[in-house]
Order: sequence, then C-alpha cells, then structure tokens
Amino acid sequence: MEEKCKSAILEFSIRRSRDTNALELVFRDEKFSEDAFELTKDENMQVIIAYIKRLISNRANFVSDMSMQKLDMIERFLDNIMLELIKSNVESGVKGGVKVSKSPNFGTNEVVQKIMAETRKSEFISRIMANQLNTVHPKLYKVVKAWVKGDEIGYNCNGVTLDDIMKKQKASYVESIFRMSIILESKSPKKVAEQYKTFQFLRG
Amino acid sequence: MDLSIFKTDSWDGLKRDEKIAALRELEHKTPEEQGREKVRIVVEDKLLSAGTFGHYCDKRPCKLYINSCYLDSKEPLTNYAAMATVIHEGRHAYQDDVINLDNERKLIKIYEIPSKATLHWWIINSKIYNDEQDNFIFYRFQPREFDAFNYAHYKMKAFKAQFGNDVYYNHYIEQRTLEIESEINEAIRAYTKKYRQVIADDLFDSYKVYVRKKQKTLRFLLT
Ligand SMILES: [Zn+2]
Repeated sequence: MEEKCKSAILEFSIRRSRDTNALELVFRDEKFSEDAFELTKDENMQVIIAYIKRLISNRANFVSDMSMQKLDMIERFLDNIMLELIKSNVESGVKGGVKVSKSPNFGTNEVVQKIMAETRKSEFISRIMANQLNTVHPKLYKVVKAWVKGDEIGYNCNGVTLDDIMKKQKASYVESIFRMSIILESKSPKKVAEQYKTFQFLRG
Repeated sequence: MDLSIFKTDSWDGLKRDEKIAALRELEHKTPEEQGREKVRIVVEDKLLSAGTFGHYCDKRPCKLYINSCYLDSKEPLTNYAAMATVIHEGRHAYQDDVINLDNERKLIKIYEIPSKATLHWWIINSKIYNDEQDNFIFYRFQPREFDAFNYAHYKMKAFKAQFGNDVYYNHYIEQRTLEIESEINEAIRAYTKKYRQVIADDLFDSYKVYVRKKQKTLRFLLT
C-alpha cells in the first residue's frame, strides 16, 4: 500500500479547469473538481487520502520529486476533500435535527438572550436550555423567575448551594439550576445532596 | 502486566517513581489491545488545574499528561482514578489514530474501527472542542469525551477479577457509577433526552463555520 501510494502521489497535479475555472485535482485519468467532490463518494478514498497525507507529511522523501509548494497545495486540497466528505455525510442524515419548540413560559427570546450572554453558548443550545427551564423541579420556579428578573436568590438543599454547583462544575448560575433540579427530583434529596458533595467531576 | 501493583495497599507503599512506572506500563499495555501506538506519559504539576487529572496532547510527538496530584495524594481511590485517567487519555490517543489526523506516526493496525457516524463526530469534535473551562456537562458529553469517559469506566469495571477483593475498588466503581448516572440525568434536564445529539449539532454548527473559513483560505492561497 505504502509503495503504491508513494508512486501515486507523484501523479497528482492541481490545475484550473478551462471550462469552469474551478480548481481541479488530477490523478491519472481522473479529474476531481473543487466544486464537486465526486472522489469522496468512494469510501475507500478516505483511507487512501489518509495514506497520501501521511506520505506528504514525510516531506524529505519528496522534495526531490516535487516542489514544496506543490506538496502544500495537494495537502490542502486533500484536507479540504476530507472536510467536504464529512460535511456531506453528516448533512445527509447523520445529524439528528432536534426540534426546538417555543414554550409559553421561560422559553422566551428574552430568556434565550440572557442564557446566551451568561453561558456564552449558541442560540441553538440556549433556546433548548430556556425551554428546559420549564421542566425543572417546581421548588425552583421562584429561583428561575427571580433570575429572569435579574436576581440571583440562590437555593440550598442540605448544604449544597447553587454557588457550590457553579464552582464544582464550572457552570453558570442558570446551568447550576439544572443540577439542583435533579437533586430535588430524586427520591431522597438529602441523600443525593450528600452524595453530590463527594462528586469530583474530574476532567481529562 | 501484573496489575496488583495498583491495589490500594500496594499503591500506598510505592515511591513516586514506581507509581509513574506503573502508570506507564498500564498505558503501554492498552495499545497492544487496540492496535494503536504507545503514548509517552509526562507528569505535570503546572499545566493542569486542580479539577483536571489528565490531558492528551495531539501535537507531535503526542503526549499524555498526568496531574502530579495523583502521585502525591494520600486521598483514598487516587490509585483507581489514576488508572482511569491513563485509560481515558489513552482512548483519546486511539481516537486520534483512528480519525487519521496523524501525519507523522506510522499507521499501525487498529483492531476496532468505530462506525462511520461515530468517526464523523470524532473528526468534527477534534476540530471544534469544548475545553476544560466550559461547563462540565457540556464538555462531558461532546463526542470524544463521551466515548473516552465510557471506555475508561467500562475498562475499570472489567478489572473486577483483579481488584474485586479490594474494598476501595468496589467503592470507586460504586462512586463512579453514581456520578455517571447523575451526569446523564443533568444532561437530560438541561439539553433534553437527545442531549448527545443537541451537543453534537451545536459543534456541527461551529464546524460549518470552520469549514467555510478553511475553504476561503484555500481559495486565497491558490489564486
Ligand atoms: Zn478527555
């Protein structure tokens, strides 16, 4: 495979199409246009591209055969093909497409904007979180209502506060409400709050 | 490898260097199972913050950083947390090999190839990654972290034959199981039952911006 790819790479060239002016990658008799990545329809192509990229990265073997500039161009082109491949595959069905329904209560645009500002998350995520605020434990409604108005009144369940959650999980105030909710939703909030104190949320 | 060195009563009696050697041996045992390359373990006491026990760095030559707190701590369960961290970070190395971002290390046999969909999400996640400064739950359920956490827990549970008679091991597994359950519950509460898809879709939106930028650069460079 390696030898095959080594000789194959010497046959790559990049040029501009006379008809469309799009960039083309030419490999033996085949042309691969910048605009239409037909090449990527072949599943094996991913593997071949990966091999060729490895070979390119080992530049010392190739400088005598090809200019560095040309290698750079081919590498970028292959990178781009990989990206396109992933993009097209994901768009054609891998993406789940979660519906975001607007809620009559906390899921207002104003709340979405507030979440975006405080969590630095996208509008997409913030809208989901705003809607999910409607599902938190009823004991937290007053906490959410106050927060919407700009007050952080806090909450304490058996020694676990929203502040503790924020610190422990590097969460914003509004994000910490969701954790407090699941503590309250449990059969024994006291016991779960005690357990929570021992959780470490280690990252790696 | 004789894993008994990780048992609480042995571990507590080890010197710092012996602990490092044991963790290195553990890391070098896993690639043989996975068909990936070995990764060098570096003990780090400045780079990693208190809540970060390890880090996989894909800059060549790739390294696996481990927080020095594992080696000096007298806290119970540190031994098993250290093992889980090495396995977790090693899994990132495996992901890295599988998604072919690697240009320098030779491709060696990967025994287990993930599904196409998983692979795509890993590639996207390798370009758009929510780092350790982010809210834990969002960070925790991005595709590559979800997989690494799952894998480490699965592996740790599989050591029952070796460590089952150590009460600390059983406590560690119990504790991690509770923690993971609670993380899933919180993710559902914050991001709905489709939390993994929600987080992945969000990464994908950023990824599209990234691809467009990259295409622009490419055009600029070639014209
Ligand atoms: Zn990780």
